[in-house]
Amino acid sequence: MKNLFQKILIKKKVMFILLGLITVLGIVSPLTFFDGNKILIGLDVDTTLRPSFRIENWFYTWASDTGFGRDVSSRTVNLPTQVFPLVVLEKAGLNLVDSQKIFFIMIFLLAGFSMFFLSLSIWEKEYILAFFAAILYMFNPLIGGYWVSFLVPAIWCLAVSPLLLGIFIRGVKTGDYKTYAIFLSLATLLYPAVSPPLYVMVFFLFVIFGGYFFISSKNKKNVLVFFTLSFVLTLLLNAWWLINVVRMFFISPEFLESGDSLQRLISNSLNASFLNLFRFQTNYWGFSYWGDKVNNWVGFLYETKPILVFLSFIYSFLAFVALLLPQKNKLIKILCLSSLLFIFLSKGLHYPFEYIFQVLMKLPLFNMFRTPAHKFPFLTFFLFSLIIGWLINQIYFRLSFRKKTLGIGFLFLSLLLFLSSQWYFFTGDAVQRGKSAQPSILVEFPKYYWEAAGWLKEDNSYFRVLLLPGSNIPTFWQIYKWGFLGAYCVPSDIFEKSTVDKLPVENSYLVRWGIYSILGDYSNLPEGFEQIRPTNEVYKILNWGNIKYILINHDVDWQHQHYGSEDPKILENELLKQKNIVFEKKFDNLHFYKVTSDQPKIFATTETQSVYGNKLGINQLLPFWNPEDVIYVDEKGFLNADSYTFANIINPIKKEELASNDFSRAVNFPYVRWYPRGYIYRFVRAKEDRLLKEIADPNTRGIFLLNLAAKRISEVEKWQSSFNSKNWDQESESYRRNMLEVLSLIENSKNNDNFLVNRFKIDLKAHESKLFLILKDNSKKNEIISNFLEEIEVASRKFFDTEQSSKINYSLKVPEEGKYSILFYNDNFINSCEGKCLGRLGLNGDIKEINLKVQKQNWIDLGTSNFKSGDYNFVFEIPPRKNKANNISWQKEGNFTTINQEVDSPEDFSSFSQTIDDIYPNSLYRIKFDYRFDKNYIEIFVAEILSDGSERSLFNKQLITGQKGKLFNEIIRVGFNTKKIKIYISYPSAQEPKNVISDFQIERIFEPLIMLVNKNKNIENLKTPEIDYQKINPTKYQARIKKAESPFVLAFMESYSPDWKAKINGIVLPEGKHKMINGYANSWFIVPNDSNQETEYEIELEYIPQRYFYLGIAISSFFCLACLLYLFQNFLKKKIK
Amino acid sequence: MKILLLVLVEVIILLGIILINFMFEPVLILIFLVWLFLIKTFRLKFYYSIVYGLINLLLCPFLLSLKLNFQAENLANFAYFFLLIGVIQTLFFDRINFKERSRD
Repeated sequence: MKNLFQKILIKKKVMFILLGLITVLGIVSPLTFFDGNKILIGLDVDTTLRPSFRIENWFYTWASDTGFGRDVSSRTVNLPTQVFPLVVLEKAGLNLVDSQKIFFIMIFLLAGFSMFFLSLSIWEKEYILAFFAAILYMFNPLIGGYWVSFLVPAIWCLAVSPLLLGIFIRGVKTGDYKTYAIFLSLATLLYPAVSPPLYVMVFFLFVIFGGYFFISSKNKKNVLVFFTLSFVLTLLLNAWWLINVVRMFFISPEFLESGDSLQRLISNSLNASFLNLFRFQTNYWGFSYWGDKVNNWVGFLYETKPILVFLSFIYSFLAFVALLLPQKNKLIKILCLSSLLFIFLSKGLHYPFEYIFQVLMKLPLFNMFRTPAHKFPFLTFFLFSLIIGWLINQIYFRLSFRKKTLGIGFLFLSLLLFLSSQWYFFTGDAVQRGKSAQPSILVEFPKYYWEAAGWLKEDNSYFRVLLLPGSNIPTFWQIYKWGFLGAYCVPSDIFEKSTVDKLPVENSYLVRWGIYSILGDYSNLPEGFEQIRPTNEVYKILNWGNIKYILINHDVDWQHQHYGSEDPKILENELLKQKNIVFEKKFDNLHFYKVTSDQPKIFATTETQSVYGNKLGINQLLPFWNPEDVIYVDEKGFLNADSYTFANIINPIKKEELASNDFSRAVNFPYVRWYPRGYIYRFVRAKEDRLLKEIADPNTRGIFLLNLAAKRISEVEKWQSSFNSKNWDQESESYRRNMLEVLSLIENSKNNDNFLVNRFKIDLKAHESKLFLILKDNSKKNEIISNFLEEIEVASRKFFDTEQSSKINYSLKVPEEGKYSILFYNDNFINSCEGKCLGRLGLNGDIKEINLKVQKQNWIDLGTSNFKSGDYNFVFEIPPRKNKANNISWQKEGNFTTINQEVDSPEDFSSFSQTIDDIYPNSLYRIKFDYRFDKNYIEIFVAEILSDGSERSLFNKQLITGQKGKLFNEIIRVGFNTKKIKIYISYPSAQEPKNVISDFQIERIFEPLIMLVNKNKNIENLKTPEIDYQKINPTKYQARIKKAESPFVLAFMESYSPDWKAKINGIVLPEGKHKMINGYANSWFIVPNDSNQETEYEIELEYIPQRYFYLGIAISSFFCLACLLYLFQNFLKKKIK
Repeated sequence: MKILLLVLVEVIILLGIILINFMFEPVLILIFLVWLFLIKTFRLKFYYSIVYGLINLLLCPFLLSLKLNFQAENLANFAYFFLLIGVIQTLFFDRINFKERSRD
């Protein structure tokens, strides 16, 4: 035995030396990521802090650990790879830092060894080749990018891919199909991809290699059998997670097809040129700035240091040099062609031939590759590793043939070159360590978190903890003064209780944003929730959310990256003003507040209400509701993210802002392909004209014309540098013609409130901003801009001037017939109307006077009416308003170009200001004036003056100047603490403001809410039964009902899902009784007949997909056992022989 | 004559890229039609295309170092299509003079 071992050792000496080298490098590199006792947590990875706690919940398809509960069918796939190893290491007595070190070493070694194995499967005994392929695959710019983004599950998948392919190739080559099909299907258990593209990409690799070996195989039929057997066995062994994922796809296909906009695809493709793809600098590389810091420090170095610029090209260069060697290999040629194909796909919508990708995007399911520059380069580098390994091997043999030392020297230099080009893997910079704008992901939790966790665990009841301040929007990152936790809510692991943060993982807008809008900073909330007024009744919403504790965390770096969230000190002040909320306990920087009137997770009630109306009104309705009420709300109107189009005047304004933001972000949008001076461009214009002729409907025609006008702007943006005067004339004339036709359409429609007016206004403003940014530094072209836009703007003014001046339109959808109270929010009308009438509300011709006398907590009750289901239109006539601005009283401020930038020459710029008093907090104001100025540009800056006298920026814009006079018309929202606003203007002239600005107006815009409320009083003398419940597991609850003598509603405070079923005495309640309440939770309407008139009985609540999981586990376990038995039997047979 | 023409093509590409700061798809197509014509006329082997691709690729870091990013982007486009033509040639059209001698 010893001799045999020695023989193998001598025979395979080279292989063992090379494997040893891979091992050393695979151990050294991840160890450099760590620093002392800090663990690595960050970005988008749901890192496990407490493996044993995590694994207890991992087997369940429903999770209530974060948010209000959600389906987690797909996360079970991570169990064997991402959680189980850490649990084993924890059980072995290792701390999390050491476990992470071993885990990351495992990933590196897995990548190296599996690529080594694949290479030897293709080219037997070519150890040098396999070694270099492995080293390239372990340390390359692509995987480097994944480490920078800390996408550990994705890296794991990349590491396992060569292993799967290697087993497949061995199977084809050896002909032992059954054994290798079993090996392959067992190995797929190590491939834990939640993301569908990762499966598809591995499938592409199988197609390339499988296709090659299928064609070169003599026994094609057996190869097909092998492939089919492997596929079927893989499905069966993965049934434990696959059944629910497939089921999810059929229930909600958006799981795969979640549509990203064309803008996203374009912006994603901006950096994905062939140049950057050859360098592998598109996948999380490159650099952009956050404030004054570079986003990605390593990427920045690769862009700026000449030596690294050169080194970044070596992979592509060497891969294609392989084709020039006289030693030919057909597989290498195929791999080169495939890698070129993947480079092309990675390019997405980047020039040239981008329309091919546009066509591909129309294929079903292809949308999963909506970020191609982050996905396809993986395939390219996979193939490059093999090609370059082959090249190095060939050159080595040629050199060794002449002189052995020459060959070894070449190998040494090659290794040095590859490792030095990926130096950051050995300095620890492959993970974010604070050198970039993103904070370091090396984290050490303060001890008091564990103390707080211990205290919370003493309370055995089921409740949620609200985390404040919430993570900032738009990143949703948790950034603490001691570390950076990325997008996931890691404290839930520590506390072992459900925690609620801002990152929505389920449909819980009503509760989640309701709470944050009351307690948090209004400016940090999503669309449509800004205008909610402060109230002291937040406890009612907290009750609806089953929230018992509020954690004010003073560790949160709430101002990070200027996004900001809420100041913890202000939050605490707000909490102290609230009813039924008291300070409970303090653990250093963690301050816990308790909701004294907390509701249980499962309860029975008879108090129900139905509400239809503007979702913005939710908090204003709090006085009408009790914590024990359950509220049925119109999902479409009240809650859904799309509902902002539904009923309020804010929407056109918000849409306008949204559109202008999108326009400035997306380059060349709408997308334009052909150069206006080119020959093909004539055909484009001819096609546009033909399509235009076919459109008769005014609205459709208007939208099409606006799109054409936007295309002209995109053309200017894209090709401005090569435009001559003829081009400018052509573009401006075409633009002018399109926009004027839209105006004539609006005029002919005689309906100035229509959709086209808003769309026109949005587009015009977007065009203006875009052109200004392009050409503001070029005074000659600035004149052209004036001509471009001025005529349009003047012609459109008459439509804008009338907008919102006299009435507001509401449209409401009433889903169910019934008697409804019409409620109208007062909104400080008493002061603003100076004692005059509040206006009138017209409902489908029925005019209601708004009478101040009937009021409840600022709500004016306009009486009850019967409503049939259907659409209703309300028109509110606004009373006249007072202009707060003054054309003359401008104060000289000094000589500035911007508010903080003093100019050298006093003649250059003049700055003036005007302060407006009596501002209503948290309100909208329109600022409007005409300006006439033909030099350079005018800058306007609006600041709000807070109650403490400090100034805060609200709005800043540089205006395109015009000779004939132009209109400035913007709407701003002031904050809760605003007392005054101050408007600055600045321009390069000594002229008085009155000569530049005329007709200066500032007026308040009203936004009163309207609601239809139906108090359910149909059933009287109802008695609420007693209820007692227990949690069996996250997917099963049992409730004991006593004294159920009349109908009641059983409320269950987990996110609504039709898959939650209630059973009484084993009989499932019909789905018609299952309704959503409080905007997120489940409820069942139960009558005595459901329990056969019994007054005491048990109700079982069960999440059905868990059964499919059990079924899958049974199937997978059975086949796994069968496979292992087969392998064992084979082994015995071979031994006997 | 053949070498002269080949050099001329590369000179045209380089001059076009460096002097005319402009990216235009039909020009790209035209140059490749000319290249395909040259391949057909002079029976150019695949390695001409590959070498052209590699030369252009090799020039990219120099242009980037000189901050000529736009030109580097343009040159990389040419590099890609030369490489593509070369690989297609070697896979499907150049089988006459090279005997496949795989080490396997």
